[in-house]
Amino acid sequence: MRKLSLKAKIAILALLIGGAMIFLGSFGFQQLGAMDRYVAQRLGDVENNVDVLMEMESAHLKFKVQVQEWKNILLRGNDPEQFLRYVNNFTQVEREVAQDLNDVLTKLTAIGGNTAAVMALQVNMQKLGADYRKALESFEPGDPMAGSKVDQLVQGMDRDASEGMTTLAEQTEHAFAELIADVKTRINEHAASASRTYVMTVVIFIALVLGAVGFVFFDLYALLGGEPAYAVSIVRQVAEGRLDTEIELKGKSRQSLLQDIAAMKDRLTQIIGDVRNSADALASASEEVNTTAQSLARGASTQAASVEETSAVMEQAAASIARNNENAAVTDRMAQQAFQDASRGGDAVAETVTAMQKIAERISVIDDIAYQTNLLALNAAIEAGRAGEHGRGFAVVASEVRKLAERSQVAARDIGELATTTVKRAELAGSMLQQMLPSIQKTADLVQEIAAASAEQSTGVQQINSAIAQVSTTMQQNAAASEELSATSEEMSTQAISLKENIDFFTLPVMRDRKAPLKFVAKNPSKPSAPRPVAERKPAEKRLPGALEDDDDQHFVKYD
Amino acid sequence: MKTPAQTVEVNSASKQQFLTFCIGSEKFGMALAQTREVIEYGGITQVPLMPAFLTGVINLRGEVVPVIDLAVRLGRPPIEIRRRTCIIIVEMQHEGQQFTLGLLADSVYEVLEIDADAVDPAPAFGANLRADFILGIARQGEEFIVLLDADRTLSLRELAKLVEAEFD
Repeated sequence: MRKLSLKAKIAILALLIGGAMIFLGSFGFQQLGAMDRYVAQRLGDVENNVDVLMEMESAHLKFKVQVQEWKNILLRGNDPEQFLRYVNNFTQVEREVAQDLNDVLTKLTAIGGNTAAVMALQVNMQKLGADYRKALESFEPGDPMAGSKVDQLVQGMDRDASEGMTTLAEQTEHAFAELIADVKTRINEHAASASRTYVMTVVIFIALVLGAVGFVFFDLYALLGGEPAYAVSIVRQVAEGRLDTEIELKGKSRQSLLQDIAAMKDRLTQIIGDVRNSADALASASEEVNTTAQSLARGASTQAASVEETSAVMEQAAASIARNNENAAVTDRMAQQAFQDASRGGDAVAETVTAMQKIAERISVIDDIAYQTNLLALNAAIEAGRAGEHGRGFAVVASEVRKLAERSQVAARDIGELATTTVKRAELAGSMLQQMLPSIQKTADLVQEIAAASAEQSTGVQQINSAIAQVSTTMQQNAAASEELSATSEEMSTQAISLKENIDFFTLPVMRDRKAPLKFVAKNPSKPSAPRPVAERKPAEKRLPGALEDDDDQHFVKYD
Repeated sequence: MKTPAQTVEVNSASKQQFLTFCIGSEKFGMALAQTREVIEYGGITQVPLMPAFLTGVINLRGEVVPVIDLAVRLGRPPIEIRRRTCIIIVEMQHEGQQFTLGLLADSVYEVLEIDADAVDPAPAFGANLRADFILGIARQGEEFIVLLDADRTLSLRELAKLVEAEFD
């Protein structure tokens, strides 16, 4: 039922009412028809009874006429003419009475009434007629007293018939009256019953329709959550921006329009509070951006100056690198020269070594000669010793010779050692030169690498120069952009102020703890949100612009 | 080294002349009376089945002279032949007959006159030689010169004993 839309509910309600109307109409119509038929039937009964009654009355009346005729016969029967005429009349009336009674009998038989009395009456009437005629035979027209005599004969004979007639007429009348009363009562009863049924049906349907209407109404009411006028006024207040309006909620339904309007209002309050804060933050941020943009512009100009200085320094560096390049080329030539010189020095040392080795060889020959001279001197000394005293002078000579030979030998040995040492030194010098050669070669290579590196540096410096030119261009663009940024930030500041003014259209309720769930004011309006200790507040906390600066705001947490 | 004047001056009977030479690291002296000459080493002809101390023979002016390795004779490793290796020719008297021997030496130094006062007798032990080969030990400065008794060292009898001992 909840799922159905209001339209569907109202449509269902209308259908229900329409159906009820149609049903009631047709039911009433049917009741009316039944009533009509019943009344018609009853009226038919009455009509038949009326016929019976009429016939009966007619028979009664005619019976009286018959009696009258009889009297006429008796009174005026002395005149034969008159007698005949009255007898004829009598017979005529008698026939008519019989006819009427017959009719009555027929109709009574038709409507199922009691025919016994009528048949008895008929019998009485026939007997009366027969009795009268029998008595009339004794009538003497010439006798003036004949009538009295006949009357004497029939006296008391008409009593049964007339009484029966009267009784029957009265009975019939009475029965008719009863019938009328009965029909009246029955019709009344029937009408009352039909009326009760109809009234009950109508009441039931009205109750049903009222129930449906009430259900739809209460559903609608529950959907609204309150009076529609109240809801309209609340919506109007919210539309006018008065968000401090407190919404009173009735009923426990959690899904009413007012409930949602309250939630919307709280949400709007929160959002607009946020937007207001954001607008403030935006305003201050745009100020900061403005400041930053200006300092950026200043920085850009400073940087442009620095870039020009850097460009000058880079040109100096380029000159230095070119000089380095030239120096490296010169050093390279010198290193090549040194390499060649060192190679030649190595060759010279090798030659020196060879020469020294030759000297050493020659010296060994001298040494050999000295040794052999020594041996000769020794042999001479031996000979002199063996010669005894005679050989003494010769021994002296031999000794001198031996000493000379020894000195020669020592000198040769010294020269040999010297040559050997020199050879070692020269070999050392040669090996050192040989060791130097790779170093010199390495130096030459390194110098060439330095030259190559200088060339690369030169290229790099050119690239740096072009990059610096680009940086300079970018700097100028930056300066322009920062000025634009400054203008934009001013525009933004204006927009923020405008936004703030627009937001001020909304009247916010007194700030409450934001973290508290959305509360409905109507529930406990006197209870404020839990106050926090004052010491807990940060001293440097930014105060919310627009927050109330009175004592009450101690009870509320600031927005961070 | 002594001056020539000193050498010439010595002529008394207490002075004796020695030829000094070197074997290994030691300096030896031999009486000049028994030496004839010193020659350079000019190659040696090896002779089969010779005792170990007999290195071989040389041809000295047509004369076949056996050469003794004195180091082996003195119980040491054989002398290595070098540039300065010499052969000292000695003349020995045996049973009235003179014969010539060659001695291998590492080098020859000089002819020295040694005073008898400067000669100490051979020690009973300590020296690395048999005491009966040694005449004495002469001091020359800081050095000692072992003076060999050639007759004993190179006596044929001794040599023959050695040969016999070797071939036994």
